[in-house]
Amino acid sequence: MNGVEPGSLVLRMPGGNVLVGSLETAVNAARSNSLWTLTFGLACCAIEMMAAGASTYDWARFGFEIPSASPRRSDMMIVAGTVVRKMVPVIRTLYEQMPDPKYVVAMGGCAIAGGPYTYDSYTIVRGVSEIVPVDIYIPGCPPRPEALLHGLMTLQERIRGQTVRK
Amino acid sequence: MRDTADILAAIRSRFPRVENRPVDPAPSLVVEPEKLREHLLFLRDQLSFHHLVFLTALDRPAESELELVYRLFSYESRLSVMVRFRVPRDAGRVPTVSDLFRTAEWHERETAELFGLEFTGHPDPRRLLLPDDLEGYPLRKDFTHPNMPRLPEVTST
Amino acid sequence: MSDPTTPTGGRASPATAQASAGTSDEFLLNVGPQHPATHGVLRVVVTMDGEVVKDLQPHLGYVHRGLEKLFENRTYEQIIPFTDRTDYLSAIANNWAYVMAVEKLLGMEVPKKVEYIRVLMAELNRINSHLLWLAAYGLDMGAFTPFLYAFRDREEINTMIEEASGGRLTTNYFRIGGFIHDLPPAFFPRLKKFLGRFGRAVDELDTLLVENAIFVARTRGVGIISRERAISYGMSGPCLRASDAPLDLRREAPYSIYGSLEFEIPAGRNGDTWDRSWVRIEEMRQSLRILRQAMDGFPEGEHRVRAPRNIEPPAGEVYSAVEGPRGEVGFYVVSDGTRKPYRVKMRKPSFSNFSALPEIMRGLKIADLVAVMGSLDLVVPEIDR
Repeated sequence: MNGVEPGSLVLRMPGGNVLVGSLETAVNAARSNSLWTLTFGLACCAIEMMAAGASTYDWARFGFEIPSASPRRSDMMIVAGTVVRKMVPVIRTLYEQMPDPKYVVAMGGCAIAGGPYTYDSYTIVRGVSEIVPVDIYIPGCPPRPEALLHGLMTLQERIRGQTVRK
Repeated sequence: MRDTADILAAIRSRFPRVENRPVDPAPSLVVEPEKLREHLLFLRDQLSFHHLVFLTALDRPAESELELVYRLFSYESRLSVMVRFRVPRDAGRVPTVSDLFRTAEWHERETAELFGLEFTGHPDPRRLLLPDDLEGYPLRKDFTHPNMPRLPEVTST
Repeated sequence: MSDPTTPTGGRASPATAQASAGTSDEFLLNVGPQHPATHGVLRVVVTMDGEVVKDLQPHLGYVHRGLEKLFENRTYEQIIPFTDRTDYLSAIANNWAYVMAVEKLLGMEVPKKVEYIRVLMAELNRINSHLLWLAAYGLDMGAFTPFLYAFRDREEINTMIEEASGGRLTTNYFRIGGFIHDLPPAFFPRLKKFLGRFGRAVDELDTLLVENAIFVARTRGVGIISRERAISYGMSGPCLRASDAPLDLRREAPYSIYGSLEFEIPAGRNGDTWDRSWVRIEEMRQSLRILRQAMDGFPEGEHRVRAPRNIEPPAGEVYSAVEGPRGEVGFYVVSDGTRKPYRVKMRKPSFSNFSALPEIMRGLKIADLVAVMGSLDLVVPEIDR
């Protein structure tokens, strides 16, 4: 093609450059680089989530700058902490209130499979995947902020591989 | 400001049954449940045990009783005392002390729902921590729940 | 009371509300359990007349894991990691209160070095917890910068604690009888550097937030509780000390080596929200004093006592409490002579501090709710256990 080097996305034309790509690439790039997180810290993992958002680790570099208190405008719910029976209708409601496309990240042992309370607890829910579909599981108790960032970057890669017709 | 010897003497004069448990230096005062409020009022007003640290119960299934335990601390004399008594395991009733110590309101609600007791005169005897659909009294020794697989026993040391 | 038959257990329904919402001007506002300013899964249902709060009903249990039942089926050593996770911001204090209780049951005396390490860790943890309180409180009140500054300082402390214990937050560090390993060689150089720098950082955070004119306007005179009512509610820690009550377990019921260390107990005068904030800033400064003394007086010796392989304390009971960042953290452990405890009751400061909220909030405006709740420094899993 005129002015396009093989393997590049840029078409050089007189007066400027033009980016060439598919619609999906553009949409997915926009989606993955601007994920609004529903602030949903339940227990200890919430602190490491806050640390990932604060200085030193700073997830704003990756596009997660906006924490959204309302589920109506968030893209992603990070379930950080222990889920117990009393919380189940709340989580379900919040999930249903989020608009598509939405993603759920299970952060920490408790959200994955009940954590250290899997046995002998009469109220625990063994993993948030019993309630909502989960996209990414981040193990740890609590996972380090770097682990959370790695999980979120994995989510971003996943989003980039999606079709627009999800 | 009285010193600790005075306080202990006053306690002994008013509470005939005082036990000293091993390990914990706080004396345990055994009372009858009906006299609980009178005794706690004495401890609070006469001996300035204003701080109710906690109140809880112990399940004694062998004697079919629940043992109630209260712990008080005095910032003036820096002493602790514990007050204890037993009630029947079925339909146990204990007078409330939530008007004497405001912290007792929540402690009593929690103890009532976890052990199956009634605190008569409590202003707000609702569930505090447990979900509404949970049946049974979790901290009793014979409590089981379908959602509660037991930890596998490991017999090696 | 949450209604399990509705899909949104989180919404209050008038039929189950306790308040008298019969007057036409009153309405119920549900705050939580998912809310940016509730520091966890707290739910309060506020009865309001316009903007004025008439009554406040807390609803708990959204993170009730049934820990006290769980403990009855764990050995004494296995319980230690769980104690971290009730109040994860003061994991060290929780560890300490529990381990001290078991050591008392066993009649075990730990070496001086162990006591010094415990004090160092506990005071670092206190500073860590107060920094997080300041960060989250600033965020609630609309101030973002203290959040970033406080977390930067937290990372320094986290590095020190992580090198020693392996964990940044839920440390699981204390053991019955001492510690598995001695302090790493990098600990004291890091601590020295930290002590040299942190005094100025506290002043910086102080001017940024607590002395800030907007903060003062929002918190001075708001949310007052008197000394007598605070003690009746079982309040402890900075919430109690703000009400003109310089009472601290490190002075009232000294444990470990606190009897021989010099530090002051800051106390507020009015018992309002600003005093509760000021007390925490001052406590950070006093913790620096304690850290310096502990570092200078650090002894040689063993970092542990050889504990028996199976911890089986003789039958008995003990209550052991420490002064945590939030107040009095206590463990009442009843042993029946076997490897597992008969009963473990956890006495947690946020449980009692939170119970005073309805009384504090009556008559205040709804906008003050966030200020007052933040100043109580609640950690919800410790309320629910």
